[in-house]
Amino acid sequence: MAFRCVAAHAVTLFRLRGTPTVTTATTHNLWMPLARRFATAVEDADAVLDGLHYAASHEWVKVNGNTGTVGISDHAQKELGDLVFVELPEEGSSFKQGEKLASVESVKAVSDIYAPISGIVSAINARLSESPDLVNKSPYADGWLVKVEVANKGEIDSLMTPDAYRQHQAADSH
Amino acid sequence: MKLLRLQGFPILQQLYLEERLLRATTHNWCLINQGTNPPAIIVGISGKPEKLLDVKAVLQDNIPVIRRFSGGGTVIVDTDTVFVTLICRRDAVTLPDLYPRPIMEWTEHLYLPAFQTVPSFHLLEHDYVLGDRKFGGNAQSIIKDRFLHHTSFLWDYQDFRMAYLKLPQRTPTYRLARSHSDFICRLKDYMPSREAFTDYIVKAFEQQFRLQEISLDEVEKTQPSSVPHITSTQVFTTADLQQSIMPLIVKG
Repeated sequence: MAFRCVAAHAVTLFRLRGTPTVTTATTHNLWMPLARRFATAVEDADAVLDGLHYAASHEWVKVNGNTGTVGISDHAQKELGDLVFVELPEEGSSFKQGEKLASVESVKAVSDIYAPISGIVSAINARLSESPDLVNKSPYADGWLVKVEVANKGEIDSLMTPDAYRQHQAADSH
Repeated sequence: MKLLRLQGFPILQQLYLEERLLRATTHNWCLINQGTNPPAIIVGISGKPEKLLDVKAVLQDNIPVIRRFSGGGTVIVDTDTVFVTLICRRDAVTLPDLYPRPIMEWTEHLYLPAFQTVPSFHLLEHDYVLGDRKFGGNAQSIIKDRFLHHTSFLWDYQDFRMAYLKLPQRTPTYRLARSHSDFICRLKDYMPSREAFTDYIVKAFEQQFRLQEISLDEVEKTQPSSVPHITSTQVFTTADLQQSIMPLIVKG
């Protein structure tokens, strides 16, 4: 267990990702999970875009006038894995900050996405129905989820700045 | 962790119950259900029957098709399926945050003691396997500070029922284009009995949780279904299924 913790820390430090491989192992031992974790590719660090506000649950919002564009962070899309389905709310529906806004499905798992700010949905990203992977490929641009008519701009103060979010996601990775 | 043991509980009711326990309670739960009757097909939240099933055969044989609230693929379940579900608060597990892969790996270690007598149990990509053969389907639903992980274990299965399922578009790498019968295995070939299997699971979970057995009646009294919560589980009607293959029939 201790050795595995050291290996896990090494993975985090060097941002290595395990690549699943076919195995016909006939015995289970501690080396197998370690083997799964090490790969030949080195990942980029999770991107954090300036000019956005971030929730602790890894959503972002960009406020322009009274309109907020909402998506999930690069850290979140990496941790979720390849998205295969995105369920978005209907235009006109209203949400309070912190309420469930949408769902995303990656292999085997559905994860809730939460409203970083209160508002009424004024537009949804229709491209995601055919191309949910846009969220993985471009989480801060083409992979936006919804636009909202912001109900209370004061809520922005409760969100994290990019620097604060960088620290938050670094803590999340350990 | 509250332990609810069920016998032959209908899978639709189980899914409704699970979604309620996940979204409308704050406890940790373990559900173990020994089989379901009648047989049913369960697709994941984004599953499309026309892509996943031989819908004509399903309609002809009147097999219920249910869309569950969690992700993942398609399973056909019956009296030979053993269902095990974990519903946990974030603070019940030693994970920095709740994401699919860490949760899967945490469950692998949780289950490991239950398979001590069985060689080669491990997590391979997203599946529990013995060697390279899958013996259970996993799926998750993750919400703020809670998650659900449920597994349908193949204690046994009928080959003819597997014929309702098409080869999915997305398959794990290790499947290597194998047919269903070459890809999966029966847990009964590796365990002395179903009762022993579930006992092993309970003992394995007791290594990390203090289990407190509870009856379904107590659950209904203390966690009533009247508490409002999001419900995503749904049953496909005959009309839904017929409509799903209409464009295919029109194309001829």
